Amino acid sequence: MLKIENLRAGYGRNTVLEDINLSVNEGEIVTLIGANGAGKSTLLLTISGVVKAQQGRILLDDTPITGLNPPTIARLRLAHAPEGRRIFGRLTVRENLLLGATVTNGKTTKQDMEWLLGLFPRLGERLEQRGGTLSGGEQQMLAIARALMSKPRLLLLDEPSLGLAPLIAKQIFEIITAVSLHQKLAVLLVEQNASAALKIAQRGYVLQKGRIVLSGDSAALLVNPEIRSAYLGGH
Amino acid sequence: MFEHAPALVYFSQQLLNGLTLGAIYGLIALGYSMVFSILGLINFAHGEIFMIGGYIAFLAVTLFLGFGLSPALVLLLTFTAAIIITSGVGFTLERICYRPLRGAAKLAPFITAIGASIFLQNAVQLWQGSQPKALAQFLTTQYELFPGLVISATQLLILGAGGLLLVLFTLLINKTSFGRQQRAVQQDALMAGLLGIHVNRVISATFMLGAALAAVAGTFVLLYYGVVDFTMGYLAGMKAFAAAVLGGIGSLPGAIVGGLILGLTETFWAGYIGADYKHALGFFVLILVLLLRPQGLFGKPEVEKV
Repeated sequence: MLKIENLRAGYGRNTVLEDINLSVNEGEIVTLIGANGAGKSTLLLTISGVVKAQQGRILLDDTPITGLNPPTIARLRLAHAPEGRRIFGRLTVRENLLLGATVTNGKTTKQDMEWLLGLFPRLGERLEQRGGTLSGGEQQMLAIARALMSKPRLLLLDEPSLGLAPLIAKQIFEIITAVSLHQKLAVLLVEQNASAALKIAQRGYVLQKGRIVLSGDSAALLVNPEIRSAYLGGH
Repeated sequence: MFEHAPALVYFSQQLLNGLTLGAIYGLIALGYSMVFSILGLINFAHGEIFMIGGYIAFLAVTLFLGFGLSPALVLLLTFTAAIIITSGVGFTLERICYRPLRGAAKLAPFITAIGASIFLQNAVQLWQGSQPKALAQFLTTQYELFPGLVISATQLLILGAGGLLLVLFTLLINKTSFGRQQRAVQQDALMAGLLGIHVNRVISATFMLGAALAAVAGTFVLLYYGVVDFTMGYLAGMKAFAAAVLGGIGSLPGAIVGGLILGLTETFWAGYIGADYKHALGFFVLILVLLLRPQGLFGKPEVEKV
């Protein structure tokens, strides 16, 4: 459903990404791994229209979305939970969730909200609390739940496990897997924890200095010696 | 009991006048606060928006009275015309003067705001002449609540309609989906855009809302004092800005309370001590509050993100 062809992108005259070719199929989890500064977040921001493409095309269901602005792209049911969670800290949990449903024109029902609160029961207990008062793990859950409120077909998920206790991170990965499976949700996952990401993804891409240097099935990448030494701690 | 207590009557009269003036300041201050919290911009042309609201109201009252319409209908049409046209001016101001400078250094839109203020003042002077415009007798009924304590129909209107408007406005921001989007854009415009919120539309709507409230204030001033002139936006704008800062810029209840404090202080000062330093007083209060509470009464202190 998502296809990126020969993409070059960056900030101003600086190029961060060069010659990117990537695809995500319906219902598939694809992970993007790479070192800090490799351009992972920039790639997600380019897909969602925040960073302008300098060359190449981004297609969503064979329709080019390159050059559209972020709200227009969001309305095509492409949700982006960006780096740093970006919860509206002064708004309540409920308000954060309702804002997530902006693009559905009221089609996100009570059942949808209840389903999400079933996935993230902690949020249900804190609906009237301000987003800023939540713990890091709860904020990450809120960020994901908010993105899911738009009933997306593709979710761009940036570093969901960053700064979280391993147990909470594991919980979040399980929820993502379950939602992807049951809702046919495609996920493009950027993750510093490469081994966890490759375990839940079907395929992966390795980004190095703005270029894709390797790609393939997760299982193959997990045993690839280069990947093991560079991103999986060498064991 | 009032007959025997002239001091109490006098006090009540000042209180009534102070609240009336404070409601007007509060309405203007809301526009400053809303724009500041969404763009980080002190829109110094906001006083001129208020002045234009007053002029549109003057022209509308004159026009509709000429048709021989009933006072109630004239009022309704005047408010409608002032609100619609002035919001249009607010919308245009943002589109032409501020939007192209989005993302520029903070000083650029600030200086543009001062320029826009001078431009609008002079444009109105060229269009309507430099003489103040005085309103023919309109809505001059007065009610004596107690001997010596008088409330005019205009004051009733300002306190009633102004109060209602402040309540409706607070509900709009806190309870509706537009208000939610507006607060989201205030906090994190990039994230709001990623959620599908049309950030530019929300900003345009914010300018229009602020201008609409200023138009109501301009209409109130016209009805209350019976006169408008092209320089009136400057001082009123400065004072409303002081009120917004006093209450904590960015805080909507702060803007309203700041306006009321300023209106009351000014009126009581003039009523008990003398009108000489009336205009400076508001700024004195502002300095005093900022010395004790730099973030203003309702403001939250800036917290550096870690």
